[in-house]
Amino acid sequence: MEFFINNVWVIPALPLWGFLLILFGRAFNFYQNKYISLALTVGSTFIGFIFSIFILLYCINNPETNTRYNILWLDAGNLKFSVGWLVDNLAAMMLVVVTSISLLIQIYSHGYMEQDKGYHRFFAYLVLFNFSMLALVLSTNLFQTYIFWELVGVSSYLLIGFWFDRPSAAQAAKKAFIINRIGDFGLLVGTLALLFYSLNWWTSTQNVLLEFATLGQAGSLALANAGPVLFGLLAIGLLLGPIAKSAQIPLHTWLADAMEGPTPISALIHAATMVAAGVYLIARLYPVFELSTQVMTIMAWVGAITAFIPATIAITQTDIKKCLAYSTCSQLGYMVLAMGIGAYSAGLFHLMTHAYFKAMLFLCSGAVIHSLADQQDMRYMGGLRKKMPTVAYTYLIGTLAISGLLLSGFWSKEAILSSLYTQGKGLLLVIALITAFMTTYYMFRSYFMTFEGEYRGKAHFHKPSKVMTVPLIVLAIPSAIIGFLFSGSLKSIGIESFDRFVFNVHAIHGDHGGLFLPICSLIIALLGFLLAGVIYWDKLTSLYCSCFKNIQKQITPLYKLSINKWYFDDFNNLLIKYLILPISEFLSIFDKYVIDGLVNLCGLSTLYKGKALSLLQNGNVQTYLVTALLSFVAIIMVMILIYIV
Amino acid sequence: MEFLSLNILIFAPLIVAGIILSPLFPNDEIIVRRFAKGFAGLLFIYSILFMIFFKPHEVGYQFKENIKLFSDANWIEPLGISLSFGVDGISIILVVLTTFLVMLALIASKKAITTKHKLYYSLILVLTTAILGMVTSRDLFLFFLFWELELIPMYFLISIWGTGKKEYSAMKFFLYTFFGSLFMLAGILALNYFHVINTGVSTFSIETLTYSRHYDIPFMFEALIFFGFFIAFAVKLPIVPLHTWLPNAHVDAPTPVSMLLAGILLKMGGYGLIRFNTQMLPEMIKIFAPILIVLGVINIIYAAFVALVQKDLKLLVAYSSISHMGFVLLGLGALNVAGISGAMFQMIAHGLISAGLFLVVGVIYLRTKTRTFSQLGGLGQVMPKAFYFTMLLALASLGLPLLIGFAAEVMIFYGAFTSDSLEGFVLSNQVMTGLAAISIIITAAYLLWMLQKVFMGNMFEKWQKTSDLTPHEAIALTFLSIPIVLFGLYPEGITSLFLPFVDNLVSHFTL
Repeated sequence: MEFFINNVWVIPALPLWGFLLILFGRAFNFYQNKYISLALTVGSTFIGFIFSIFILLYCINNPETNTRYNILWLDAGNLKFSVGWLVDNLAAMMLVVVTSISLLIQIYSHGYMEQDKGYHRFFAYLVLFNFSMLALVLSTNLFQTYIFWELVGVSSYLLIGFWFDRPSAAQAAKKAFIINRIGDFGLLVGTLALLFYSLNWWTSTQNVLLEFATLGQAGSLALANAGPVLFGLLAIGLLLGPIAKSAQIPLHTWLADAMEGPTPISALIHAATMVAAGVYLIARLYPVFELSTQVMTIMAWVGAITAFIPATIAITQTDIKKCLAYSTCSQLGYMVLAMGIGAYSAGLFHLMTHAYFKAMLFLCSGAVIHSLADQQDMRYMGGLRKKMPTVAYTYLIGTLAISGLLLSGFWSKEAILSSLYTQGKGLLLVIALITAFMTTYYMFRSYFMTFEGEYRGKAHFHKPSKVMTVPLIVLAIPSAIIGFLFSGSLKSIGIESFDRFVFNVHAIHGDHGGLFLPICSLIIALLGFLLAGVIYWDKLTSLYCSCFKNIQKQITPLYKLSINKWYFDDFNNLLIKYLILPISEFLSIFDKYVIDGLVNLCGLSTLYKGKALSLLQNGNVQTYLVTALLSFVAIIMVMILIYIV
Repeated sequence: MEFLSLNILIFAPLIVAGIILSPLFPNDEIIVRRFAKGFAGLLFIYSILFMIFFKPHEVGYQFKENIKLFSDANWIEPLGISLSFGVDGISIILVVLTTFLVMLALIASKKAITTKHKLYYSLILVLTTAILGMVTSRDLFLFFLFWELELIPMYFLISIWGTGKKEYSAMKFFLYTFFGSLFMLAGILALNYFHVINTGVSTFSIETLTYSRHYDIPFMFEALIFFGFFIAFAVKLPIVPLHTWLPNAHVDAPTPVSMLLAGILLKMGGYGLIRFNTQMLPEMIKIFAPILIVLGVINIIYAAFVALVQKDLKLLVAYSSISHMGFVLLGLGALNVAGISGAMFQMIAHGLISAGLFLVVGVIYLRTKTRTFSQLGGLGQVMPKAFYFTMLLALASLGLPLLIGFAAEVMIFYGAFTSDSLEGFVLSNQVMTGLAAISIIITAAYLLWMLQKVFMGNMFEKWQKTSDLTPHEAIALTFLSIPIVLFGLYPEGITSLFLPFVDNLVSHFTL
């Protein structure tokens, strides 16, 4: 076991090698065979997965594991940045989540991308992403996190814009990167400020700069040095990174557009791993955030609003991937909310369960889209359960899981809700429960529209291949049971509860609020299911009475708000169009006509004066030299005169 | 190392230029180009040897040379002017950068230059001598001579082989630089003057004036000297508002000349600021650091905003150059090891990246005969190699980690943020750095917008038959990409060369 811990660097190193091999292999045309790219990708991830499993087992047996290794990377003056790897329980958990989901999605991608002419490029990007994500997970310090934070961002940029000949994909890729850059800006300034206010401590203790293990001490020192206001700003800057990466409001708009990428990418990057990295970073920076209660409150509210608003948008989406994307946003909101109220382990628990079931849901939608020749609109689907039962049932498992109907999502969501309850955050609890209701509603709506009823589309159907359905079945297992497995109910056979595993001394732990809350949330979920069924399931539509129709008419303004995504995009566009670009235009014109105009004016006047000396041809350089030298001598004379006098 | 002679390194290009220009040399494009290119390759390898045998931990110049032309005395003995050369931590890396980029510019000249080959290649080599002389001279007057010498080939390179309003641009470039250099000359002479009246000996030696200046120059005059140098380098760097020559010169210069202009000539501004304004006048830089920082932040933000709305591809790259050179100022103004090392690193990083970007612009222009964004689009479908190289360069330019631009930005941001050079000033270092950091968003916006406009999206019908990179272009871009990735992964490969120098430099004004 020690072997795996000591050689943990293999996990990110193998994908990097895979990337380089594919890159150079293809650049010099050493091979054509698609299976070589596939084997390099899947092989590297598989070995990583085996390593991760052993590391996880080791960590379960040795809960106090905290293995660190640092290499000095950049050294200038008192700036000493290191990169390295850190293995603790949290990292072990993330490693397993990332490698297992990556592995299945890579296998699935083979089926999905087989006909695409960019097959090798796709796998090269995929394995590059894998490298960056795993190195991000293993980061020992905030600086290293920043490096790989940007690298996962750029992998995401490359993969969203994979079909770059589509204008919408190109636009979406750029948007994702720029919005993430806003987050990176905050993260960068926050990091610098944190470092600045605790610099003496770092230099005097000879610790690795910004190492997570000692961030708590440095944070409290920074708080003492900076004062609460500046420290709050600093923490908000740091929070901005996760807000952008985990698609929290108001920087969430890129996630829905990111669905322009191939569906396996949406499953891997924009549902399971990269977007969860924001929550992971919050977990890593927890010792800093919890020093400021205001920032924690802001975090909780950002999470709550993000849980709520995207859920309301998801209700009216007809594009199956967009619906899932807003659902991802909303679930990420839950995680951030949990983090914000101090329910550290509940948030991470939800991160883990969500990664599995949401990856599976996306892969199901990918199978549907692939089978229907790129049809994404649920209005042209329906009745697909009979045609592709595997996909339909796995989708149903995912739907049940995310809705909190006793599968894995129930346990993790329950942990969040009970933390809200025990801490007496009434308003936040209400928002979370309303969101839970909407979640069930829109997920069952999408299930019914896609798999039940009559087929409404025209596209020719062809069956998804085994290589695509097998990963779905495999993913269905953790989606169904992982919540129960780590809920603490199986203590008797030696499986500890999740919160014990990622236990963090700083986190607040509340007792569960009895049976009231679980039952309450189950009822709410059932209500959501019922509403969706009444409207969209042919077996229940007999209940669909006229009152619902009236309601739909009465809520037109709300409907408009939802279908227009609360006008976030329009607002951003207005901001760019009427603020940023005019400023740029102004500066550009200023540059061209004022600054350069003045220069030309000086030049012209010289030319006029020089007319007598006929300065207009190329030969005027020499003349200029003479005049310039003369005037220069004059300057010197004046200088010396001044000095003497 | 007897065989490593700076004289050979500096004057060999001049001699080869003479050979090429001589009537005996065949007037055949291929022969001239291959000859020049081969020579540049040798020169590059020769300069690499200097770097290998360079001892970073020794303070002061190494490989010292002092050419004595007619007798044992210095070149112009009565005035104390000598033909002396040497390299230290900051010049060695610029020497290698120069020979490297000259080699690549010559490789990239194949299709870009269609007339007067003999003159073109010899002018490029004269330019090489001028630049190498500038970074290695140990004598202020010599430095000035090379500084002026560089103008002449540059003027002709733009005005003969350029496009558009080339005469106007060349003249503007010439006048601007010349205007700046006058102030520098005044500064140089004033330094000499004060040395004479204090010690009775006339000297222009940089070492003497830097390390053994034990007298005080009246504050007023020292400030004037500082500003004399500063204006010359501000024009070169360029610093807003003295930058308007640069967009013109870049747009109208031929591709290889743009590469050299952005890759090396702008760095002379940064080099001068470190060598003279910082090293020679440490008292002054401490006083004027706030000005450097403010101007740096203005440069960064202003040029980035202007780049955002450019309609011409080359103009966008030109303004991005201005914006990136602002980082050099910001780093310098920090006056600490991290900041100044970052400024140095940024010069190297920007030299490589901007040369690459200008090359790509040239590649596109050669095929489409346009640089207007509205005319371009979807080229990635027909030019995938060009697309990937541009993507790499753009990502490096916007400071993607593990590419060369990132290490520079990190050092500069860190240096500027933790510095206290703005003490007593209204805005603290932290606020100014925060403002500068906004540029990471804007830079990403305009570079990715550029990628999207040129390479992604729908393609115009007329570009259907555009060809991808030729082997020449691919090789030049590959050569550029290697250090961009290599030193991005391993920044110490560069920093170790100049860190001892910077340490020493900083120790002088923290005393």
